[in-house]
Amino acid sequence: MAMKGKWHFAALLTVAPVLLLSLSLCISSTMAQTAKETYKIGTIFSLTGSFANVGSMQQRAIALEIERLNSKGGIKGQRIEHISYDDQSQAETAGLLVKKLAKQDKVSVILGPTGAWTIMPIKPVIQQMKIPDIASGAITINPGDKYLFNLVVGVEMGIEVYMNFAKQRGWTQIVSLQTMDDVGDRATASLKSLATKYGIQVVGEERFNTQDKDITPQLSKIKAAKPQALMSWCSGDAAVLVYKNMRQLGMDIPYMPSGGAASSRFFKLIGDVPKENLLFTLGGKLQVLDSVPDSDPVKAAGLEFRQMYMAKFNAPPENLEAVAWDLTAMAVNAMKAVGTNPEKVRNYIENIKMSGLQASYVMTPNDHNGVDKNSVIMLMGLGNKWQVVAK
Amino acid sequence: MFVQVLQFLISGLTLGAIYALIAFSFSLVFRTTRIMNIAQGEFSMLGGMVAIALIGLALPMFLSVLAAIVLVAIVGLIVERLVIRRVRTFPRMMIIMITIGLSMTIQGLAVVLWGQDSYLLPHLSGSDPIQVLGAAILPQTIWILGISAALSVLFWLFLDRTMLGLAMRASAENRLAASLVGINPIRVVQLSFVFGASIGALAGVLIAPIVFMNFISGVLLTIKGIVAAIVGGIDSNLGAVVGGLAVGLAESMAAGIFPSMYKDVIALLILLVVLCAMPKGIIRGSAR
Repeated sequence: MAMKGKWHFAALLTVAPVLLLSLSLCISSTMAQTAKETYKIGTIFSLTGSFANVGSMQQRAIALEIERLNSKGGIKGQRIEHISYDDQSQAETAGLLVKKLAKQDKVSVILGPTGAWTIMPIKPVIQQMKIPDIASGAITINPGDKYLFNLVVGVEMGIEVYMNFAKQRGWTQIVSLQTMDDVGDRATASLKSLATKYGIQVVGEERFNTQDKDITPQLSKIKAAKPQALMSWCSGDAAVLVYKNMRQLGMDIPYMPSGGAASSRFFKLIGDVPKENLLFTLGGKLQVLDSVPDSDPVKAAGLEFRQMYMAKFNAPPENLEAVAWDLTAMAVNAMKAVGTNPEKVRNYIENIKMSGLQASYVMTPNDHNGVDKNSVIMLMGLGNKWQVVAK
Repeated sequence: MFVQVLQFLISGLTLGAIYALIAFSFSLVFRTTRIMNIAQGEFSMLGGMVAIALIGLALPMFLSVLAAIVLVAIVGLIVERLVIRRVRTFPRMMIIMITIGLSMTIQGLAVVLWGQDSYLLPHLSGSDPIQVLGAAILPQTIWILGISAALSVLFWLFLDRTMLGLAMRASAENRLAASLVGINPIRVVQLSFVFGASIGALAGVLIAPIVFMNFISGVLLTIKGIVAAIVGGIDSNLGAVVGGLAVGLAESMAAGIFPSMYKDVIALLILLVVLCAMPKGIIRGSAR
């Protein structure tokens, strides 16, 4: 009994200093944490599932850019932490991840997801969590969506750039061939109204499924209307199919797909473009980096990013990656200016003026897309390359 | 106007020929084993993708195509040995479910091997369209149509005139009776799957220049192929070709004649009407 008492005392004597030491360490580390801010960016993209193609490419571009920035000292010498989640191409998962990033990981801003189908359902969650989210999908942002921003050149804006160009070239009769989905509906409607605005007549209107294997029936109807150009807001395989079927039917008129078609992969699938004025698309600074004046700060960063991207992934960065880069740049600019508080970051982004690789942006409380129409560039496909069309 | 209608017809023939080939491989397996192989489209996808991969390794076109068919035939063999043989005596519905699982597995394998991008194979004889009375037809379409027709004739001869073919059909009809007369049901299923996979792969290789091949191409092909097979008459020799053409023409005519907004609805309506009028398919098959 006396022995036990002695034993207890000895134990206490050894444990106590250890406890005191660890307690003091805890206190000092939390003090150290509040002294320096941790810059955290959360990203939600589809890394698996049916949209993994697009999502994984944007996520890796963002990861690379954050790595590049960190190698240059991050923000004010402090590393930027990138917390990346996979929404598995499901909207419900995306919603849960927004909550996790806001509440548990305590990020200052979320980048992504891609695509209207994932973004629309999570709008209320973003609002509820009061976390700013810069997304990359062609969605409409209402005045009430205070925390959501979107950097993609939307359907309406893209078509307006095309109509402007068509007017310059004197093409007065245009046909519309759109996909049978929400984007196609909006493209059909936009084209009708914008064409009238620019004095252009829409002489044919057809639709098709992105899964279709052959669009020659629709194209043959369109051909009979004798148009001067064809506008089809689609990308990827669908855009390739339209181009190929047009060649098959001998329709040598200009073809204007969406901005998303501007990729080197496009040329791999269509072969060489035989002559001028057959293929156009929309692009941004990324496609013309080498001819941007050296005084432009985006040029140096863009060139470095492009070099790192090529070295790591053995392929050039394209439209998707340009958008991803702009998402990152916007978030980083905001945090550099106002710190890590999500509310302050949101306020800063809402009034930001920034030049990026996809376009230049002027955000206002009424316009959370902010794309400057004049920063969107017309590109023409010739041979197996895209070249800038002189304005 | 005539030129347009001709173009619709040609489009219908192109699509129809594609569906016919898939329908063919599907009905072959069905007629010799009574198994509805939902993974049939995946064999076509594999055929196309493997051929594309081999060409990417700088193998000549002819060799790549041949090797792709052989390789996918081996896959068919493996599938039969590892999966189908174990579940041979399960209820029909369960076997169908298992083939659905099989198709998903193959899709997953395709993603691991080739990612999610789409690919095209070079055309067999150039991609310049042939002008016919003002409309354009691709040489590849003629290949597909020709080979579908040839296959139909070949397998009609096989299934109706050769001992092996008749044995396979007998085994499908009544497994017990067939085994009593010395037909090994296991061998029948094995052979059927090898044939089915080979023809599926051939279909894939022929289609790949026109249709984008990616890990998920098999699903749509399976659906269209099954519809074509049933509409044409799954128990008849010509059923696959007739059914394929019916589905293809329905689609292209619907897109051409009506506002293309409604083309899917109209195409499906046409097929519904056909099936209601002729429930056993367009060609009623051999008398039973």
